[in-house]
This record gives sequence, structure tokens and C-alpha cells, in this order.
Amino acid sequence: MSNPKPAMVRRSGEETAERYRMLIEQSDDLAIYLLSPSGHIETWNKAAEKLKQYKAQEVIGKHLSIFYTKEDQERKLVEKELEEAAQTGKFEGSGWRVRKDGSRYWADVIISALRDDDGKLIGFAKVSRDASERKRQEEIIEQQKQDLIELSTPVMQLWEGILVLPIIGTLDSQRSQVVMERLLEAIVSTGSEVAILDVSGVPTVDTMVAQHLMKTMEAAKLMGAECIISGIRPEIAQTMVHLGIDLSTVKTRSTLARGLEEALRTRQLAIVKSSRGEGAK
Amino acid sequence: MESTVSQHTILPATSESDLVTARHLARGYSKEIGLGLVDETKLVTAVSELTRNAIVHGGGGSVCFEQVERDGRQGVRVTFEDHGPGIPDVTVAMLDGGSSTKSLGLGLPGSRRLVDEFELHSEVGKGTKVMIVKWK
Amino acid sequence: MSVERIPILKMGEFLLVSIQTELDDRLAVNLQKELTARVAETGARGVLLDISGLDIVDSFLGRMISTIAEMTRIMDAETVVVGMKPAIAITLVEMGLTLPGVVTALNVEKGMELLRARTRASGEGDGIHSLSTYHTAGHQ
Ligand SMILES: Nc1ncnc2c1ncn2[C@@H]1O[C@H](COP(=O)(O)OP(=O)(O)OP(=O)(O)O)[C@@H](O)[C@H]1O
Ligand SMILES: [Mg+2]
Repeated sequence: MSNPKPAMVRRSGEETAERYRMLIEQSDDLAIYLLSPSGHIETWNKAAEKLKQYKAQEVIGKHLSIFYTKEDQERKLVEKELEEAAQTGKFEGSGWRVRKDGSRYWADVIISALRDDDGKLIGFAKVSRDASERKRQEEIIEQQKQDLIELSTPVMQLWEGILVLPIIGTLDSQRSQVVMERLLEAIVSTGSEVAILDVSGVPTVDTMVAQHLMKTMEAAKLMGAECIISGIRPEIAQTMVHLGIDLSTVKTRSTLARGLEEALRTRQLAIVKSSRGEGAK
Repeated sequence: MESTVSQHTILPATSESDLVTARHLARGYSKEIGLGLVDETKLVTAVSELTRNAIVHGGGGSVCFEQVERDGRQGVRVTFEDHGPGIPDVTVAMLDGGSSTKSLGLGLPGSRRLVDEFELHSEVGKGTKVMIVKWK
Repeated sequence: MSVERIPILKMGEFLLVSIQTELDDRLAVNLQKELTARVAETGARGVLLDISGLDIVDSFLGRMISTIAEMTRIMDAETVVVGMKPAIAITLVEMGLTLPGVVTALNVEKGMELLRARTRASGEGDGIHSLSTYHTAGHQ
């Protein structure tokens, strides 16, 4: 190759340098190349050519930013990444990059700063890989997780106008959000005025979750429905009180059965046409 | 903190009809990135609050909608800018009930709770700039 | 701008207001004025404010709803707000705008039942989902 070898390689023993160079050139999965301190490309390997579609002679001497999107160029992303690498020794990140034909791919990137014995910055080594497939997988997994949450949170109509939502398992804030939305939707679609949220299957309640529960109840009230929380175990009661959550406006019952009793009572009082008033006493 | 802009719209915010347009645009941009209905409603509401503030308190200004992307995540960024009197005490204005009028004073603190990112810059005599982002 | 109006229908001793269009500020203010006038003129005992057609309620509209409820109450007519969409309810709660003192119901039918029950036995509020926490701005 006619282009000058980067300083670091030149400094090492000739043999090591040669092995190094071969390793880099042969790699066909990782695009590995060296950059000058200013971010200009100094070496190029096969994988880089395959990934980015540029031939060595087309990119050597060019600035790294040619692989970045126009918006990233405008925001001087390359400069920021190089600066971080220079300051901390290494930059690691992911982002969209552009191939020669203009198509985009998702790249995992590591930029390492190279320094000579005196600590002077002599350039950067950049390793990058096409992670588009992984990104797609991650998106699929996220979607599946979402689907699972919905499946594991059934909303049941127990009686005309009464919904029950048994929550089993840990409630994180993402799941609480789903629970909240599903419950409120079900209230509308079934025209139910009372909903029982049974939390006896929930091991712990943290601040976020407690707040979500409170918000769910407030939102239900705005819509004209009432929520009863049942199955509050002592630990959860403690958490809620410790969090300073005002439970005075909230109907809570120890068990689902009691919750249902209360729901029925509410309904009978609300519906004036009650013909079985005897039973309610 | 880095994000990529793929499309944008700038709208004047001077009259009540601009407020309606701003809400519609917020809805359109939300749909574009596939926000769920709840998040869409939150964004539209925040846009309504902040556009109204720019019109009522800021004496009119502009609203800029952008579709952005960061680390592969899509988002909508909205920037409200006016050259009005500015806010003398931002801390007070950001409090629930921190209204200078007899109003509820929920616009600023409320919309902060509706979005994922919220930045407010204000200089007395120069104007106010609020930037919000809602991520998918 | 349009000269649209929100229709106010008389149904027995109640008034029904059904908002089916995007409510801009002017329309909202007009509605407030007209509604109180109609309550006075008809001696209505209750008002059903159907907001199922609304896609957003911001602090301005929220305040207007509260004001209507308060004004009509002073005139001895209860206002029941019906049909708020879940997404709006979640948004309002998140904002901290919980419409203190406003009575709500799921839909027009339920709201009507509520009003009847309430005007008949205008004592105990059996089954009436009054938002009993009277928040004032500034107190979360
Ligand atoms: N763009 C602006 N220019 C100047 N002052 C502003 C601006 N936005 C907000 N403020 C000030 O901050 C205060 C708080 O704003 P916020 O939107 O929270 O409440 P509000 O507009 O008074 O009432 P609400 O939004 O609840 O109807 C306002 O009363 C006003 O003094
Ligand atoms: Mg405001």
C-alpha cells in the first residue's frame, strides 16, 4: 500500500505491525480502520469495503463524517465522538450510518484513542459492525414483551356494570401504564361504573406503581366510574402509607370477595330500581 | 442528547386559529411516528398549553414541529418561541399554581409532566423559548 | 372563523349540551354564556355536558368545564359531565387538573339517571361520583 502507515503501527516492531495489518485486512465481519487525530481515514479493510461500499482509494484521506447522515454531520457528531474518545480513551455507541449508495444501516461503533509513549494523541482506531439485524430483533422482542403484558392482564366483566382486573406478578411502570389504559378502555366499552383492581397477586408495590394505581383511580373518576382496590396485603398497605399516598378517598378492601361485595353494594345504591333491597341489608 | 431531524413545520402563533392548527399538527406528527393514543393526547395537550402561553403571555410567536430520531428512537420535538416580556421567575412559573394571572397556572408544570423532555429558556425583555420532546 | 354554535337541547327539566366539534376558546366562552342564560330562562334542574366528542381538554377547557359546573350549581342546577375519553382522563390526571367538584358519569344515559336520582332526593348523593377531593391549584 502506498499510503503512509499510521504512527502507532510504525512504532511497533516490524513483525507485529505486519501481523496486525493482516489481521485487520482479513477481518470480514468487523470494519476496522485507523483515523488521523483530525478524523481522516488512513487505512481501510475488506469488511469496511463490504459494509460501506467504498473502495480504499475512494475513502483514504477523506473525513470520517462521509459515513454519517447529513443531520449528524450538521450537528458535528463525528467531532463529538472523537472528542469523547480522546478524553476518556474510548467512545462506544450506536447509530444510523450511510452507505455509498445512500442506504442506511444501524452501526455499533467503538472508537479508541491511540497515543504515543509521551501520551500525545496520534490518531484513532475505529471498529464498526452492521447491527441492523440485532436492532430489528430488539424491536421484535420489545413488541413481544408488550403483547405478553397485554395477555397477562385480563379485564373481566363479573357482573353487569362491574369489572374485575386481577393483577398477577410484578407491576413495573410500563405494565402499570398498560393496565391503566386497558381498564379505562374496558370501562367505556362495557359501560361499567365500578372496577375492582385486585392486587393480591402483586408481590411489591413501589412509589411509581402506587402512583399509577392512584392515577388510574382518579382517571376513572373523571370518566364517571369508581375503582376499588382489593387484596392489599399488609406490606403494600405500609408502602402506600409511607409514600404519603392519601388513601382516604380510595376504597380499599382486604380481599377480592369483599371488593365484590362493596361493588355490588355501590351498584345497588346507585341503581334506584333495586327490587332486592332486602338482601342488601 | 443527539438527534436527527427528518421533517419539520414552522407555524406562526399569533391568533386563536393558530392554536387550532398547532393542535392538528401535533396530532399529525404523533401519527407519523406511531404514538399511541394516550401519548398523542398528552402531546397535543402540551402543545395547546404552550402555544396558548406564547400567544397570551408572549404576545405571539412561532411554533416549530420536528420529527426527530435519536439512537433509533422516533420522536416529535416542538419548539415554542416568542419575543414577549419573558418570565421573571422561572422557578415560580414552573410551580403548580404559579400563574401571574388569576388562572390555574397549570400550563407550564402540567405540560412538563406530559412530555419526555422539557426545556425552558426565558429572558426578561427578550422572550421565551420552550422545547419539548415526546419519544415513541 | 366559523360561527358555529354548540346546540343546547331541553329534555324535560334538564338541558343537554353535546359537544361534537373541536372546541376552540371562543366557542367555549360563548357556550358558557349561553348555557347560564338558558338555565336561568328554563329553570332547568340539571345540565348534562356530553364531552364524548372532544379529543382534548387542556387547562383552558378544563377550567371552563369547572366554571360551568360551578355557575349552574349556584343557579340550582347540577351539571354532570359525561363521556370523557380515557386518554383525556389520563392526560388531565397527569397534568394535575382533576376538575374538583365536578360530577361525572360514563354516558348520557347514566348521567340522566344520576340527575334524576339527585333532583328527586336532593340530599344524600347515593352513587354519585362526585370528585370529592377539592384540590386547589398548588396542592397536588
Ligand atoms: N411565553 C411566555 N411569556 C411570558 N410569560 C409566560 C410565558 N409562558 C408562561 N408565562 C408566565 O408563567 C406563568 C405560568 O404559566 P402557566 O401556563 O403555567 O399558567 P397560566 O398560563 O397563567 O395558566 P394556565 O396555563 O393554567 O391557564 C404565567 O402566568 C405567565 O406569567
Ligand atoms: Mg398557560
